[in-house]
Amino acid sequence: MQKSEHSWHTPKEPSYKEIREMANNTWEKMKKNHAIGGFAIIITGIIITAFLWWFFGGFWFGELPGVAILFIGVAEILYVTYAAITDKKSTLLHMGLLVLFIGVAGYLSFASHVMLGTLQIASLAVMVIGIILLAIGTISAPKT
Amino acid sequence: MSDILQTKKTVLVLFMAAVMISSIFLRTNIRQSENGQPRTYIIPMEDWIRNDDVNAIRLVNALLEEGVPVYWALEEFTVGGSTYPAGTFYIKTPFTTRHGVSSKVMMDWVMWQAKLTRVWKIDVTAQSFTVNSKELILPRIVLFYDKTTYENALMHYLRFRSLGFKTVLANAGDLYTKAWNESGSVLNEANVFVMPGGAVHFWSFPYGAPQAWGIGNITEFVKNGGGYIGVCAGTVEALTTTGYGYCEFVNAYMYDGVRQDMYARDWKILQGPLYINVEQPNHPVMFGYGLGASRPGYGPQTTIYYLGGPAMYDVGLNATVLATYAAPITQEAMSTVSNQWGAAAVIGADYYDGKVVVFGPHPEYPGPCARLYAQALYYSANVPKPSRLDPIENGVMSETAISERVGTIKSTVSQIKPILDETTRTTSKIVNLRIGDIYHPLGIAVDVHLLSFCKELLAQLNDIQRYAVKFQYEYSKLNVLKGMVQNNPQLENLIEYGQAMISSFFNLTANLPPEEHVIFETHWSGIGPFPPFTEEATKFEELVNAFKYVNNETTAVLYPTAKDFAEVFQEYNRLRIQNQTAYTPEVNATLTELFQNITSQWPAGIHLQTYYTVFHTLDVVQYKIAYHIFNILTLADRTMEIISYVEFALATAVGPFNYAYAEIRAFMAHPEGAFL
Repeated sequence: MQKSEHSWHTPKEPSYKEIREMANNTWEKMKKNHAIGGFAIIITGIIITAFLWWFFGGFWFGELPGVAILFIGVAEILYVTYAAITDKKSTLLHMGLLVLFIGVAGYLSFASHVMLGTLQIASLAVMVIGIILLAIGTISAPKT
Repeated sequence: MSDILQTKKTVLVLFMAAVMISSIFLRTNIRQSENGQPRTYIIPMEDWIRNDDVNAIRLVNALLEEGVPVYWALEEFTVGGSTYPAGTFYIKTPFTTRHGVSSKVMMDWVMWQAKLTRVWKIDVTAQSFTVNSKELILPRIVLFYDKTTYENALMHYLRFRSLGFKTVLANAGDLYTKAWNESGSVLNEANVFVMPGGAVHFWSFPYGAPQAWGIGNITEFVKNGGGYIGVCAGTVEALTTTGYGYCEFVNAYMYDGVRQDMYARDWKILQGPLYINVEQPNHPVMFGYGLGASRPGYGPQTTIYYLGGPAMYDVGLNATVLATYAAPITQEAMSTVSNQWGAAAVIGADYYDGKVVVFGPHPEYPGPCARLYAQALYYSANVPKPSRLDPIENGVMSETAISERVGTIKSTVSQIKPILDETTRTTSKIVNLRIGDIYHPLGIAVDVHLLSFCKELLAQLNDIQRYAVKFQYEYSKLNVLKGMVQNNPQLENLIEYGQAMISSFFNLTANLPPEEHVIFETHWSGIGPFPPFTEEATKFEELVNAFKYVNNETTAVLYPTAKDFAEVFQEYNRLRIQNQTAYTPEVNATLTELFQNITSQWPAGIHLQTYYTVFHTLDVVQYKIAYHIFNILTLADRTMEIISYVEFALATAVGPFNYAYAEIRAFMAHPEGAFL
């Protein structure tokens, strides 16, 4: 059997320190994207909300897509700020903020009408889930 | 450094808390609500991007049912910097509905419903303005529902239902048994009589028979302020100069000397949508149509469906030509019918105190004429009449009884569906034999009417089942809400009213009113005998037997007859082509003889046999099935409107979280209903 000219090898396992450095480097790039993207999402949300507000002739839950996008942008910026202040960042934390603010957007939209009590309660439940995720994310995220 | 971080953390936490807390306490409705101040709510019908005009009219009708004064601007007006054309609806507050609901709650409900039903723009102004208007009177419609109305009655019912008009179905028998102004007669409870298209309906009022009194009743009804809407054949019968000598409301002539083939078959080529010119855009019936129309399809020429209705000439003094036939769209009209362009297609007329609107073409068919039809009804309804759909007494059924009815309705619908499905498939096979070709001299046309009924009935059975499940859920919700408003008799009465309407719906399904038509077993020409029809339904669940009868007849009688006719039909077509391409006197003679055999009246040829067999089946479907389904749906639609505003008033009183609690309780009891 002819032997291959190339030998198989296992790459060297990075050390914990190297992984931390890689993560930090990635985060340095990512936080800028989160911040700029957050503002872009907020502006998009405002435009969509304004259009829907005009189209429907008032504020009601029809504006939910615009308001939700706006608050996703807010959540992105808060994530960057939160991570910068606490030095903690994790997917769970990020998700917690997103869920929390989607809940806030839902509540803001559904609060405009008495017939939507059930959806208001559902939004509050989403907010609570968001807060729980946020808390777990904050506790479990390693300090970088 | 740690102090700065701590401050930042505090600011961040405070910011997030502020956003959440503000969202929890933000319950302001940013819409302009009445807040006790007089307001005018304006529904601009021309905003076609944001307003669905059919749904806007349905909303107006729901308000009229509640006794809310709705005004119809008869001229253009300006308020708050916006100009609104004639035909705009507006509602002034304050008012109180006939069930004691305040204008604030009612108009908030209207705005809510408007949003949900794609009427996305209702302008609200506090400024006062003056405009020449008509205070609308809700059209209480009697629709002639007879074998001579064919599919037209179905199309009318569907159109009226979509617009929120509640229809009473009446046959010749209903129209003669009591005088027009006698208590309990259908005409006494109505303010508009609608005669749809079809055959000449006066076959149903034969001279010398008691039914002929019905004609006198209709005439007196209109003379004394009632409205008359005629469509197609219903128009022919309302003309003074057609020679029928029946209603004679409109001084106009159906000139078959110009359109020579009126009683022949060349007009068939025109069937389908065509254009009409609006001659009187300032007439209330034509608001929003014509040269200045802003909605697509409403102008400059309006598209409307045509099925061989009259073209009218020599219009007299009591009548106004509202629209004329303009041009075909894709049809290539034969010279014998070409002179109908320019003749009157829609006429408005006064007959003593009554208003009459007659249409040659069909505004009830799909297309842009729904608003036109609604306007004709608003124009001709001038005598206020009370609602016919209120519950007789505020007696309510128990939840157990309702639960039983829901179970029965669901199981009935699931039994009917496969039967109806089979009937629909067989009817489709019949239609696919192409013997119904509306452009063919021998085409029987009505096979597709049977198919239309089958298709609509399936949708309507689903509607009834959905309503039953929904009403059970709503009834349960109202029970929970009742416990929250025990100190408020007005709200308690509203709840009882809503529950009584739900009970009426279930009661109707358990006690169907009798339908008087006799289904004959033989025809005068000797066709038949058909199996005797003994499946009169007195309850919704008994309709299963009628569906079975129709299915058996369609499979065992109608399809074989249609198949036999299709063979002859194809032979006739082959000979006709041969006669045109390779003419010989022998071929011509064979063709003529075949045509005579096919169309023979006595003994009945295969053409008449097929035609009558379809009609026999159609009669059972129309009278013994659809009649009951339509009546149930009319009541169900009205019940749903009432439930909708009653629950809105209750939610306003008890708040969103209490209302949500009632919803969740009802959901736990009847989860299916919450999702419908």
